[in-house]
Amino acid sequence: MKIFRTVCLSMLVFLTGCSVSVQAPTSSTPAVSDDRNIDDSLVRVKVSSQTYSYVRPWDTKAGQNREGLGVIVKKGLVMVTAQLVADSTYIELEKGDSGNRSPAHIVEVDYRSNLALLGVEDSSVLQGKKSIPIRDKLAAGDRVKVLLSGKDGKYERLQGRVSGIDTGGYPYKSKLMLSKIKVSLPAATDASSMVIVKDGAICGFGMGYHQSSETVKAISVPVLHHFLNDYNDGRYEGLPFVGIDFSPLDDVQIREYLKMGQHKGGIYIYRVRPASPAAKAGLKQGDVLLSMDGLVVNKFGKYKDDVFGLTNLSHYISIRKYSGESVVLEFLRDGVKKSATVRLEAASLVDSPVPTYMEGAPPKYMILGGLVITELSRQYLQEWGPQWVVKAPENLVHYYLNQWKLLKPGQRLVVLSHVLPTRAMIGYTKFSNMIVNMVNDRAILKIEDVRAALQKPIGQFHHLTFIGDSKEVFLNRYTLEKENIFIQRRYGISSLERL
Amino acid sequence: MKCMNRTIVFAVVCVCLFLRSGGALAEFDIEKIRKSLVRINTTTQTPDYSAPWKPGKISRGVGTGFVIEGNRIMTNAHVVSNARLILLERENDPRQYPATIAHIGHDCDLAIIVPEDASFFNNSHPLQFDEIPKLHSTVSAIGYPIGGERLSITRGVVSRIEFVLYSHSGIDSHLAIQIDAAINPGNSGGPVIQNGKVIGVAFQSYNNVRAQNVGYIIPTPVIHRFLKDIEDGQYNGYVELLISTMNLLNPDYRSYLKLENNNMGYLVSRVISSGSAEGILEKGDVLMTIDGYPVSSKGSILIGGEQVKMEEAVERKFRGDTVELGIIRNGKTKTVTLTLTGADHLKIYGWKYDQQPGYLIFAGLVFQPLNRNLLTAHNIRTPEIVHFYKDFINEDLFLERPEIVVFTRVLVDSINSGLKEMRYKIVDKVNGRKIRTLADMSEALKQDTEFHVIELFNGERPIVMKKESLKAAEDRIKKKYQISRMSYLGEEKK
Repeated sequence: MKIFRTVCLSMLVFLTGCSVSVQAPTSSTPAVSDDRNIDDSLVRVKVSSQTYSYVRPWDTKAGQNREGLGVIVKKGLVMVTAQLVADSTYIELEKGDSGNRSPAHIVEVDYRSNLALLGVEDSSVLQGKKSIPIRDKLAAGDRVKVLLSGKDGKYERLQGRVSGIDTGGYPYKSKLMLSKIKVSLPAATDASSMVIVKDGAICGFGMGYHQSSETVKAISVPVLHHFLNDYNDGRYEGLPFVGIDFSPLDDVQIREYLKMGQHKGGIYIYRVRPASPAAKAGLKQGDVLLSMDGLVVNKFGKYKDDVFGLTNLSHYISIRKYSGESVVLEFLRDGVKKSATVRLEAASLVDSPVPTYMEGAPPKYMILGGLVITELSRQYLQEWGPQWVVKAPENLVHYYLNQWKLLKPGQRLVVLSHVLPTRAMIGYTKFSNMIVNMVNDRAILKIEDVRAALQKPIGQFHHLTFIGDSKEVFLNRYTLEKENIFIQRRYGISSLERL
Repeated sequence: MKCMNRTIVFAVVCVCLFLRSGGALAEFDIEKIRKSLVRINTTTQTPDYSAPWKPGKISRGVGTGFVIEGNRIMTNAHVVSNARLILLERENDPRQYPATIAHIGHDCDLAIIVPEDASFFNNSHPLQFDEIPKLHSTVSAIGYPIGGERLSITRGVVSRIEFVLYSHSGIDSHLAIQIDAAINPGNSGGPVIQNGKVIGVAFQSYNNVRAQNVGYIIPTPVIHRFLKDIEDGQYNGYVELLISTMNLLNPDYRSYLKLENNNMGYLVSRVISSGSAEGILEKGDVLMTIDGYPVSSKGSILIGGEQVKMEEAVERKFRGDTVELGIIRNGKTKTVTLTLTGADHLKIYGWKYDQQPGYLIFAGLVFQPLNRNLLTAHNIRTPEIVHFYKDFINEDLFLERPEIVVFTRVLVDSINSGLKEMRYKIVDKVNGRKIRTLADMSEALKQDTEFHVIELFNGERPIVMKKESLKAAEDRIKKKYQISRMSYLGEEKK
């Protein structure tokens, strides 16, 4: 990433590649004052998607078709939300008026910032289309246009107003700056399909719609810029992270206990994720974070951003900074002020011990004579529905919630999901959601270990033990081979493993 | 059974089904039985686990009892649980006789009460017990159910005899007889009669909109066990084997263990610490016989022509009794003898009665030991606490923490405002000391230190209380929330 410097963000931003100023576009960007011209930069995006079943990992769920709008941000590149193209099996772009179509593919996708860039197979579909700049600022109170892909190849235009800008939850668990836009949408509109524009420039994508407050949650301008800047430098790295979890320090007594003296702000670091940039820089649980690059962090974890005012520190780390850059953290340890330079790295959702989102990758699994073995992910738990925290098996939820403590970096939780009844499984058929501890006396830290362990049976037998459950499995190695053939034939499961 | 989804085997399950042969219904002398019938009026006070410092809610109830040998009255435990006053009435006698509980068995929902005035028994006939009635034979339930003041008799047939969860304790399953006569509130504790003899005590009904006319009665084997248990003046309750087990149906598992292909033998997958089997059975032992009965590969034994759960062999045993087990260990046949005990550490799962809930109030923060009453009163579903509750035995959590201390409530005051979000977490350490029981916590807080530091399990940040502001705050809280005692640590620590 090239150096990204802010010279008073509220006035002017120098971006790598192009520069945009407030209100009056410079000559380097096409001036699109009339909103009608925006049509020239929009394409319809049709997506067929299919998600994997995590409890029956060889299987997929019923396919879905989604439709949304994409925006040409660079020659030949269309920007869309990541949620629109997630788990896609086929993407097609359609020119609004002419009906020209072309298959498209994902050039870059970042689930944390919920953005993706698409490339086209047949460039004629983008002929006569122009790219559109990203607006560099959007403020509460601004009037915007919300564009939907309507019927008959037309785009619907609705008037909206920015009701607030603050950090909030993105679809894939990250907390980033988002814009709230008050707009009245027709029922059953897919909010992941809309584009927000103002004065001929794009200023957001819809991510979700709250019906009763008539508010669209939209990706904010700084997130759009961050994504494109990171891409433009030749290699997309992703949003940086520090790796700390904190709680506010608004209680007088704990402040006194932590010897915070005259410091007015500060947050309590209750977890430093193992192997994270913060861990590498020597931060520890119990440290009190005072400032980042000299910006004071208040007792609720906010700093004074020159554009947005009081803002959650995640915005500074993940959006104002790029991975590879450093941030100087000042902290208090046992009442002594210290500082550390943290070199920021990008984190992917797949990196957590229990992955937050598999980023479209199919779940790994193995079927051993009927034992269905897979790795725990958040998506696996979500199979129990929106209430999964209380409905999914408590032993698995416990590991999910305590993953940073219970699992080592790089380790995965291998789970015996359930058992496909076969003759060899008599007596084991009710086993489900048990955490695999050892296979043939070898500790299992990821599913690949299971396969390796199967190479060394104990005598004629494979032996599985579990964590938190005293039941065990013995399986004759020859039975295993025989039953695997049976499963393929009887249950029609073509592949007995995917690693 | 028991509210855990794993495999602890409890020896509270079975009594064998001695079905009585023959015997059509003979009419009985209702006047004779009326003289032995007792209407029990109770005033109960139920502790409030969401506000344990309060005396509890007072309510009234009516149940039924009947006179048995030895000038005693039998009824259900749930009729007289948490009672502050028990008043007895007999048919055609206007007097109200105060009574006290002599014995109560919450695990089998039976109790013996005695009137203070022995003249209560004048002109009464102790009822006699009979065996288990035959399926489809007619029985009569007698009692004082809702819908009227006077004695009521309903008639029904024996629909089913099987093991049923006794909802009073919520964890114990014993034999019960299902009848199709309605058993309604007030019937509880009343005798169910056939041929003029008691064949059971009415105790619960199936509480479900989909089922009608399902009433359950406690059969005489359970009653006899209770009466025998109290012969020494004290009720000790059921005994348990306290092992986790696994079936040995799988052919490969059997061939690994070199067992014959005869469907016999049941695997001990775990021996629960500080239970009957500790030090005697080992993980991996294969149970072949229990008191001489061969054990099948799914843990059943054959008694009187019926396949019943293995635990039945100890169902009618008492604390200190022994059971002989034939096992195969490391390929060798052995016989071992267990001395049976109860299982106090399982009590976290059972409903609690007749005891004041433990609690500790510190700086307006309320701490309570985890148990079923607590989970229900606060409607706690926090995964952390559910984990500690469910895996309390499975993962030996009880060894490290015999009592799981939960931060449940904030009595809001200036000293603790803002701590409400940290509720429903488990206390890990206090002033550096690991908390194993509520009493531990109370001790740790006596430490003379400038700051009291409470660390919660996954608590994000510690709770810190400055000593010098504590006294004034606690005085304020005591007054504002009308608390007479800031803690109750349990009876033995009084």
